Amino acid sequence: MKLINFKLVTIICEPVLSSSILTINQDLGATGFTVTEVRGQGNGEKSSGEIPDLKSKIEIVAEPQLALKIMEALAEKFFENYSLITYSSDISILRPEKFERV
Amino acid sequence: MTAFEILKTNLLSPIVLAFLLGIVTKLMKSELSLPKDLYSSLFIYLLLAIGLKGGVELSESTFQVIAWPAFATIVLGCVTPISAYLIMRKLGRFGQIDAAALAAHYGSVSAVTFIAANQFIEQMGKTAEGFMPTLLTLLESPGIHIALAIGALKRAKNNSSISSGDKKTKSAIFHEILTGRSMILLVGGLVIGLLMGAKAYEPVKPFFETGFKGALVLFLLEMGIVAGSRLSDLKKVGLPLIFLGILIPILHGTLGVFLGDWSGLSIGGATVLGAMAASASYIAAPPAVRMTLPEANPTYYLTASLAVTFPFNLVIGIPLFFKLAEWLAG
Repeated sequence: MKLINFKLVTIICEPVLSSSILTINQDLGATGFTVTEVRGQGNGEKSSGEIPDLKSKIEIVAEPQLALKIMEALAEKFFENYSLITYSSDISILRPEKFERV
Repeated sequence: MTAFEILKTNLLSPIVLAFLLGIVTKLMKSELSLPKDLYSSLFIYLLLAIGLKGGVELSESTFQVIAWPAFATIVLGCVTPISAYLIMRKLGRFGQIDAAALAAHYGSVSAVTFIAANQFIEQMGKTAEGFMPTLLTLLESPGIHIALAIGALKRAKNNSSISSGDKKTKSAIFHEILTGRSMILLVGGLVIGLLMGAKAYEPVKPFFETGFKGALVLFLLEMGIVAGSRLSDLKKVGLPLIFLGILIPILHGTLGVFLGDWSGLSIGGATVLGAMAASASYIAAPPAVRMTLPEANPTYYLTASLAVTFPFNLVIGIPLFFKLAEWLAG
């Protein structure tokens, strides 16, 4: 089997944003996602949760172009007014066709 | 009972003491907090319990009895977001968006304040009408919608570029309010209670009523911890908002008690309606406001409703509205 270079886009945001972010990702072409509930704090906190340091961590496996597209879309929509960070890392996967939209 | 005795009885009630313990816990920087899932479970239990009980009692009330109180409640729901907005703008000198965000919180209802008010009047030997949970659901929606509409209008005026995709957001917000946890539990509970009636309620009654007060004590402990963690933000929001966080509940609560008395509610019912009007939502409103008015500063509205208005109503407001209701009833 051959390893293929892909990106893992990670988004850490206030929980209220998760559902809109997942919709955007799906609209752009992401095929799946993983969401975990995490705790943390960042610079310029604007979080709106009842429990202030509660955050959602969303992870998406995507080919590099799509990863960039997702990050740009989120930056444009949410950076100004919400607590959100996003970064991508290099990963290697098997079965790249699993991450393609049919 | 004198006003002082009433305040003292309230202060020494288990729920108020548990709430204060929560605050002290936080001030002492203790690690104690309820597991998040337990907190959510208690919330579901409490809200479904009042929904069910309210539905069963609703099945035994007639339309004539509810009509005027329901009308008074809808009037309250339409007035309170507008008055809160104007007070925040004129007295608090908040910007349009922040004022609208705050108004959405003061226009809608805190279910926990509602429950606390019911417990209090019970302690005073009174009861509220069985259809009060129905009024709670009536008061929730208009308030939040009117305030958010004010905010969205101002926002569109200030920034004409925000329009693409806003339609989608609006229907999403509407969906969020209608399907929010508290609405589903309350309305769902009311409908179930109404359909099944008193006889079918009997077998499940012990579970929902015996543990209710104990669950409430646990819930208020965690609320104290949550409110305590917001106390440090009081410095950030400043004195004017703290002052308004007390003034608005007094004004809205007084209006609520008057309307309650006028519409024919008992002393207990008028007190509860006053407490509902005085309360600021902190569960349903924040996410809706966050999505509709992203420029509004969450520190303002969360601190005002959780760290100022809720404790005020719990400790002083509810007894105050009770005294007023008693005085009005003669």
